[in-house]
Amino acid sequence: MRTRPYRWATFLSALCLSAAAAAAADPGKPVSTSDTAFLAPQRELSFEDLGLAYPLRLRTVFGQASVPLNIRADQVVTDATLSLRYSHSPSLRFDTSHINVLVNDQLVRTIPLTAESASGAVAQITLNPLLLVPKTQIRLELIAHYARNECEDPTHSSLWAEISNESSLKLSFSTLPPPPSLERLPAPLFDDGESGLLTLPFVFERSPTAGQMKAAAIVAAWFGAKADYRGADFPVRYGTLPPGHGVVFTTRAQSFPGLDPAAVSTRPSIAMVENPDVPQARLLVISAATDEGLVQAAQGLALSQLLMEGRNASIDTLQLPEARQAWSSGRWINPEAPRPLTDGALNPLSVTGLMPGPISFEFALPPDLYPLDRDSVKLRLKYRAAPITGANSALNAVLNAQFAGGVAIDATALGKSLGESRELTVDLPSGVLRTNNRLDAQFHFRRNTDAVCQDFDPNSLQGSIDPASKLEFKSYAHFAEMPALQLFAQGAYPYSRLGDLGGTALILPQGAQESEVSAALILAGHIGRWTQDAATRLEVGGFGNVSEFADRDLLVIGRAGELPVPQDWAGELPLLFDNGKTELRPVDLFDSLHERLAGRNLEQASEYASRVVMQAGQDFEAIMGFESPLKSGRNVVVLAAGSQGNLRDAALAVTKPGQAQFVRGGLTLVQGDKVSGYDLGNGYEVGSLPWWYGLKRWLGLRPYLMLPLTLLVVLLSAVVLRLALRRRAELRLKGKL
Amino acid sequence: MRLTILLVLLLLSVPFYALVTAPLTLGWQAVTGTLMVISAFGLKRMRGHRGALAMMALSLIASTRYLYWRITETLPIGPGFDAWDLFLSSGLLFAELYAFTILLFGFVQTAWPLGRKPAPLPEDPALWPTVDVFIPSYNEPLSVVRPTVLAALALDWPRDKIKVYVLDDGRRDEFKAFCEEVGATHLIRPDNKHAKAGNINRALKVTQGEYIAIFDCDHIPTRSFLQLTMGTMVTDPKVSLVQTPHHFFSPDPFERNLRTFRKVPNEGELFYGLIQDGNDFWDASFFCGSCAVLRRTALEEIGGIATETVTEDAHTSLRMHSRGWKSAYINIPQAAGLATESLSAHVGQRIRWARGMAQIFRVDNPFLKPGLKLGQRFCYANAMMHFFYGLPRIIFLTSPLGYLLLGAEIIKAQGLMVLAYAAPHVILATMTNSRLQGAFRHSFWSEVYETVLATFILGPTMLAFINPKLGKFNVTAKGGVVDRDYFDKDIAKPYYYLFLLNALGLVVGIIRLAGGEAHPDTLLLNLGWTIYNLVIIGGALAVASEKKQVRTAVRVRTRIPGAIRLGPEHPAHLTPTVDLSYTGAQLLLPEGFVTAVGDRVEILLIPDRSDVWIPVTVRRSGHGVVAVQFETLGIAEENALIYALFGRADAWIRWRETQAPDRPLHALALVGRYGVIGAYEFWRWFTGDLLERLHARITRRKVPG
Repeated sequence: MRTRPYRWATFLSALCLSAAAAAAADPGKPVSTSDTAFLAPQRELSFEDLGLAYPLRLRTVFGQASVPLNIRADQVVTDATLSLRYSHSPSLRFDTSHINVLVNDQLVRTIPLTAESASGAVAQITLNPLLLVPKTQIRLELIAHYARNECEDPTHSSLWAEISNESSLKLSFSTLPPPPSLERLPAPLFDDGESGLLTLPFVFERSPTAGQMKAAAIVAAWFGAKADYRGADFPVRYGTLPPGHGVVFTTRAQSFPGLDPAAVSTRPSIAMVENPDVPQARLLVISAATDEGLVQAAQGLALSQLLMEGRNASIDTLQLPEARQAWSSGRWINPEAPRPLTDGALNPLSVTGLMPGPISFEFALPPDLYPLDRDSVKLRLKYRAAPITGANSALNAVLNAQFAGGVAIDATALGKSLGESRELTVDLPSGVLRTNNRLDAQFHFRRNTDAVCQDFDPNSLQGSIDPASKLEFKSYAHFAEMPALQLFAQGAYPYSRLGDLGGTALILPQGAQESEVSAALILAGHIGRWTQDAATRLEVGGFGNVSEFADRDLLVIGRAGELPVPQDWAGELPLLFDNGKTELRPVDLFDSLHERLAGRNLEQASEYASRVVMQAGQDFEAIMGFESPLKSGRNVVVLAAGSQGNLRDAALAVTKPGQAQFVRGGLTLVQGDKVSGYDLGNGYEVGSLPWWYGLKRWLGLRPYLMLPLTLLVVLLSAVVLRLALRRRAELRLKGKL
Repeated sequence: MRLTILLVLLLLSVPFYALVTAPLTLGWQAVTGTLMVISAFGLKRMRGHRGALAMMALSLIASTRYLYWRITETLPIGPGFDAWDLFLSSGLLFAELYAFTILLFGFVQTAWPLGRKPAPLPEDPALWPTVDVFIPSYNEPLSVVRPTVLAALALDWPRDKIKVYVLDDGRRDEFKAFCEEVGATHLIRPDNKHAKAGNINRALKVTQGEYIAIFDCDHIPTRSFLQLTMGTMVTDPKVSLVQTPHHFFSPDPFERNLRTFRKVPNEGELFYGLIQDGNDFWDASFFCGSCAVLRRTALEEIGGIATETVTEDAHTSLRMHSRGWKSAYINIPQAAGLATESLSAHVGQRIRWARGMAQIFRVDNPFLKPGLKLGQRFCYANAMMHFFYGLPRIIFLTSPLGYLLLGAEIIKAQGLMVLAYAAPHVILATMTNSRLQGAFRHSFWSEVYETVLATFILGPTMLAFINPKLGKFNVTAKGGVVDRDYFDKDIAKPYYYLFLLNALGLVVGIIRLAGGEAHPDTLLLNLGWTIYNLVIIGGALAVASEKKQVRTAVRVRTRIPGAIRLGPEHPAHLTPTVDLSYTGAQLLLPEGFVTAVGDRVEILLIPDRSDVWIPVTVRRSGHGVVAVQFETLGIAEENALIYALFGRADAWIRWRETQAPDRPLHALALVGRYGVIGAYEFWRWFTGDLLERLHARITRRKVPG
């Protein structure tokens, strides 16, 4: 899941006075870059690359919007040209209409609008590279008029201009890597100026042991947490250094020719050194004499217990913090004590003007948060609006792009003066709530049009959201209907439950190949992204010792037919691998009937999935979720690939926003870019419901039991009551009662 | 044993909870509801208590499920609904909660009618206790009181152990003379404080009998009354009250105006036939003011008859129960009286009961009063809360109008969903009540009975509930004999407004339906409800169409042995009666007995027990029947007549034999028929009377113009 899937946030034209801050929080679309891309001296970025999925539309007499541009800290722009593709209304008064281009609030060009440019034109604008700092805002303002002497409607529909998202920015860089140092970790390996997928090679001497794997997974989770919504890819190499940045795990200095021997220590340590093959690139070297030492170094890094100074840091003793409680990570809203909504604000809490953009908030809910009531999650939005708004002005609350509630805020409802906030209460629809949520508070202002040609200042239309706004939770449970790979893709459930991964075991085959290790690290990064915590208590196992981890949720990675799981699990997997043949396990008949009652057709899903598997031959990957055969209530997710498939594709499908949305159900098939998820029954439940809810849910899911149970209760109570009452009647007639 | 039963019931409450709360789709709810109703038809065939209890359980599941759904899913709260919707909706919900409570309490109350048999008295009459018979009277004419006193004097009890007292608050000389003549004691007091209760309390002070039998002055006891009731008293010294049913041998206004006398159980039969018997199971049968025996010690312990409320009888019982005294109910009619004459008198009496019960609910609430057992609390509470039906009934009668006329969204649900939940609830409750009460109250008749009274008892109960001193209402009793057919528009006023309002709702609804509607199912549901309401209100209007009473003395259709002769020197012919009244009789014409109209002959009633020949005049003869009129009767003759007419132990026992068993759909059809008749009569009155007056007014105005 993308943390910030709402790229159109910034292109709603806004009379937003501090647009820079708003856009700073909006990073744009992740762009996959190769691990050496940062070395390229020239790049051309379209507005689409910068996060605009749709063209920008500027409206009203004074419409504005901004585009964020982030630049790596170790790069300096030497040359910059903006090609602005724009079109606009042909009915404007061209002598008074123009577009201003501003970079970080400095006006760089005024483009006059003409009749010729209405149908489309390109303006080439050379930007002063000194203006382009690491976090830069390119702002566009439309000043447009259609009337000369008569009065003008500032929101007239002819007042528009459109900026294509194919507009592009050509940048020339000079890379100035600072001397290797740990101080700026995770930079330069990860620079938050990059808005795309983080690609960071991990290097081992050879196929990693369980201990090395654990160390690597901890580091991968740490980088995953840092990269956050961008996603992280960790290609793996054995024995050779990468052509750019990289992370190296080693127990011996001699393993990698050219590597600075000073970077390798027998004490658990980390070091930042130049890549001997590419001097501008840096290597993070994690070294120790033993595997345990590597793990300790990784834990030290993840827990920030190392002194990050100079090139080397080592840690001899490490005190692990206490085991985490469920959902204690700061990522999640704790329903017991929800933090203020405005902690997740994406832009300023106040808006001005006729057509303001939304005030947006983000919040993440534990993926297994199970509302028991329609009003389990209540939004209390405290707002203020200048009491001069016209009729039909409104404040709407939009949850995940779906309207959730609203209130009229015209002056007649607000009164003449307003000194305190009012409250809009919305029961957030549980069907729309997800792991990661975005809430837009959208003011819709209407100006008062009672009198013609009334003097009107759009800036007097103001609205704000009070910091006291909050979410309230009541009557909920931690419960999930499984298998639900969508929760794995969007929230890394169930592994993210304990932030230190104290409930997770990674199971890899013996002598795992690069692609398998890479897939495991990508998933570790994915989990870290969601927990935002140090994965210190993760365990790594293999074919031989799966049963040792019965009490944990397992994440199994392997090739079809060679999965590192016990033989007798074959019947539990949704896919059967048999001598190079792959088949779908037949759908359980009872399951099928049961699901049909709920309007789901398992056979049909199974048929589709079978067809995909058959057509794919061996060139496919599968993600499977099922209940752990070792212990009920524990989960297993298996990443498997056919002999021609690449496990990395499956792992990346979980992290890439475009593909992750199709990861769902109990079986997800990945074939190159194509991802499809299926519900195939075999449902199970994780977590616990209060008995009173569990009971009615249980019966509600089995409506065919209503009548038999009714008759049973009726007849039994008739028999028992008759006995009791007859006894009493006898006593009463005998005069004893 | 007791623990096991409790444990099983506790265990059953778990699936019960699940059955009530499980969320279902419309389809499954409809299927489940239908199957539940079908199963109820199966359970109906199950004999005995088990079947009844099973039906109660089934009905309770359906109703609780409906109500749970209603409360959790359908309240109009949230966007799109305003305070007005919520107001109307909470009104309806209140009414539904009330109906549910009454249903539940009713199930508890009638779970096991005890069917108590009279206990035998000691063999030796010398051991029998002394009894005082109280016959309080205030303004009733002597002709009404006479038979009661005579019947009381004829009670089978050792003469030296029984005394009959006429408690005359009217302090009338003719009463005194009559008492002296027949051997009763005439008691008077200087004031009329606390009316009947005060009258009895005063008499308690000046009498000494161990037991007190109380009869209203128009309730004529059978001679076996004490034989059947006193055994229970003597056997169990903790029993403070033995109550018997009130029986009416003349039609009440419902029976007369709807012509259902002895065909459809009347309003009182449910209470005396079933509820009091059910109460007895819980030791909660209560005193009904007449036809009962009370223990003097118990009565004196609580300070005599309660005087705080206008239903002193139930209140007195409640107090005795709370002191640990027991009560018993013997479900054999052992006294009979005349029913209220006109609808207005009937309404007046019910207002008093309703107000009194509301007063007790406030003064001595059965839920709060210490000393009562749980079952007693339920039974008393139900008896009192029953009279709060005024407001709920009016809400039910007007609810669909909120939607049809005002466009208020009262229930936040699809019409079909409402149907799927409400239909099993209503149908199963009806079926179960028919099973439990069918012999004593036919389905849907409660609706008619309650609708007639709802508007009248609403005020008194509400006011008495707020302050027990308030709520004194008087309905002008028309009194006496209804001598012509007429439409009692004063009594009917509330219903005809309700009727017109519902008719308007129907018309508006049909127009809306024809005009195309977003939710035709909701509209149809409300229309159906409105039509049902119109039928019920029509029934109430039919009751308000008073029918002429044709008699002066009520004729009781009864076949008892008799004899007729032309005179003392002629042979007697044995022949049974066809009917009998206080003024005359019809007998089968015996073969060989020749007589003509105007002849003076003699008849003998119940030759086995009597040798008093009553002189009569033949009024009609032929077709195998001879009708005679009594001449002026001496005390001996009157006694013989009273014995034959009222005093026989089995006088009222086979009364219900002519009633058909309850069949809910037939009952609905019958009520529907009365609904149509009532609507028609109302319409005739409305167009005839009202429009005529209007017309007259218009023409009057035209003349000067």
